[in-house]
Amino acid sequence: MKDLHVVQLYLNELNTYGDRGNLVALTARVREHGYEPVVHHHHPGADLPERIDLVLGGGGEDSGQQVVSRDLQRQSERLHACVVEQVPMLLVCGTYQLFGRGYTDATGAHVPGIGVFAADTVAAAGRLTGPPDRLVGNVAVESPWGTLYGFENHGGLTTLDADQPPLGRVTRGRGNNGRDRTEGARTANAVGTYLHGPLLPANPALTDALVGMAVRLAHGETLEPLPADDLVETVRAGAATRRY
Amino acid sequence: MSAPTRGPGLRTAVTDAAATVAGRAVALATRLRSGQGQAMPGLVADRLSPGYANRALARLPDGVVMITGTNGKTTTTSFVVELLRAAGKDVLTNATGSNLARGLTSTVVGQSGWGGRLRHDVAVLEVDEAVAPTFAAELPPRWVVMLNVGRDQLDRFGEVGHVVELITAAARHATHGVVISADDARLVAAGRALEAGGSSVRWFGAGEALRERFPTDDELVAVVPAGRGTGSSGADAPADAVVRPATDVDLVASDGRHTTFEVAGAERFDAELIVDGHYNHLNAAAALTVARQIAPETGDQALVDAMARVGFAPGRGEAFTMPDGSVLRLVLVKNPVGLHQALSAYLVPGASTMFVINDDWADGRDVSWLWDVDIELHGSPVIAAGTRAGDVALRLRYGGAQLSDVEPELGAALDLVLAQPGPRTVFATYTAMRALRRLIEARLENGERS
Repeated sequence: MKDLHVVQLYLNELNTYGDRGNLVALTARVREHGYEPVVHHHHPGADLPERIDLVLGGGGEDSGQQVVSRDLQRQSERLHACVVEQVPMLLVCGTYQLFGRGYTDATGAHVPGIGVFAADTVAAAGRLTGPPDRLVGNVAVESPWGTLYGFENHGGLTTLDADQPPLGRVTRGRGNNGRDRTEGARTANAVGTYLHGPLLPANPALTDALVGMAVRLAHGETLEPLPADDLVETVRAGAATRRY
Repeated sequence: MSAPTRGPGLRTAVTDAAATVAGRAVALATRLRSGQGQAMPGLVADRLSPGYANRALARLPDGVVMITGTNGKTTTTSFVVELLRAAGKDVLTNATGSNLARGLTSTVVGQSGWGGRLRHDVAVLEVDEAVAPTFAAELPPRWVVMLNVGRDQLDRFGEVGHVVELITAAARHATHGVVISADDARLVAAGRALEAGGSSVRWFGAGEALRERFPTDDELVAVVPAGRGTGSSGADAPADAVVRPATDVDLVASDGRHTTFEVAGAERFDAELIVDGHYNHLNAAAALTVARQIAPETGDQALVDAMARVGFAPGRGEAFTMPDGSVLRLVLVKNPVGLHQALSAYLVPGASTMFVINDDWADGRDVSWLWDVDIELHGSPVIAAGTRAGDVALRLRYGGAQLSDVEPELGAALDLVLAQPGPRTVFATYTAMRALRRLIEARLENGERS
């Protein structure tokens, strides 16, 4: 069976909201398509593996972001090269912010990112005194891979440059900043998003798109579509009717 | 030491009496109507006489013990109550799980004399983490018990670090001391800071041999799915070498209902409890730690003996015997650590199992946490139920479950699980657990009549 090398970034530091479900769903889907997933867990201070076919990253707390930011600076050149090579990536919440230009926290301190996305993130107001002011709730996003359903829960507001394409537009929920209806960002095959849920189990079109890009890159092959899954359709039908 | 409380003025005494009457009337009316209404009496009493509950609680001779933390508040509270009763105290406590401000006031309304005075010696109150700092600032507890912290209802609480800040802020108000888990690195850091600020901290935990059965939330996150690859697991994660504080009480054995506690690193006490489940036994260790501070004259043996009188808190491992004699066990799950503990304590391989996951506000609207726990069911028949039945079914399928049904509606789901042979275990989120208890109790009443 042909290998597919998946790099899971910073699972110890950034995985607050069930994002490891993305890895569970992705590896299962890779197997269903007839490939063998090889998962490389990347932790701060370690080296990235020689071969990278797909990259996953999750969300986390501010303390985790500092450590990750320092390591990302070290890996920046390699990761930018991967983006240029069209390596598919799914970067959720905290890693999405740090694949942008960075995160400015409530005290005004800046956690630098690596600028794969032309995006800046600042902490929403009110986090030092009152209760945390967060963008929280069920989200539906119109994306190039159809409607994506997920759950957002973030204290950072992200603004994209005018020439930075978003992942899509929210039809329910708050998205990048609660103002311009954009959600996430897309540069080459790198996808940044605030959607947890986790995202991939309930959105197989996106999962297949990521796996398809990786397979094309690694083996020059095209995926055959898999039959529709009744249970996934049930979950998506439920998500479609959820109001908030 | 706690500040001496001034006697209330005549005017306050009169309004407190009026508030009690009004609150009781509301309690009666709402109970008659719906069988519920835990918050309403407190709301009315507080409107009529602001600060009503605090005035009553501040007059208790042994003050208030606050129990807080992510998991185990209700069970720990039951243990502390029973241990202090064994010490001869008259103990006031809040109705299970009714741990928000109005529920607490309702508790006082229900228990006080008509003048708004309490006859009790001490109040043992479980307090929601978000409410804890305000509660403690208004009415400084003598003791605060900090059980554990983990991701829980992230839509409501925000990040775990924020929860640590909340309960540490509450603990700063403790006039006598704070009881903290020695096995949670985040809480050890918080406890060290409290000590540096002048607080007296007593520690409890799990003995060496049991430690691996109590992964902290951070450790749970680091567990990764098996498969081919490199650098897996948290093995090379920074271990933040935390020096474990010396404990007053360690749980050193937990096997079914049998427990052994080691006190002050020396003397060991065995107890045969009603309650099984290793995480309940760790809560008992926390209770013993605080009880032996409040009532040292009682002696450790008598306190440990009292543990055997504590039953399951409602829906926290509670077993129901149905009219046909079969058994159904109901286990509250609401976050990753809680689910991990509940599965390791109560999942019976091959037995009938149901997961009921709702996403109301009180459950936490985000169900992502189901993915942070390894749910390995290896072909066991499982029913997925609740408002997020589909999502839980999808999760369970990835865990190798044999899905027998996906049923959002609770009454129908209960029919399905009762149609399966016993024993059965039902894991349910908060609102699902409460609704199922009502449905089960209604059936038990009908069963007795027929």
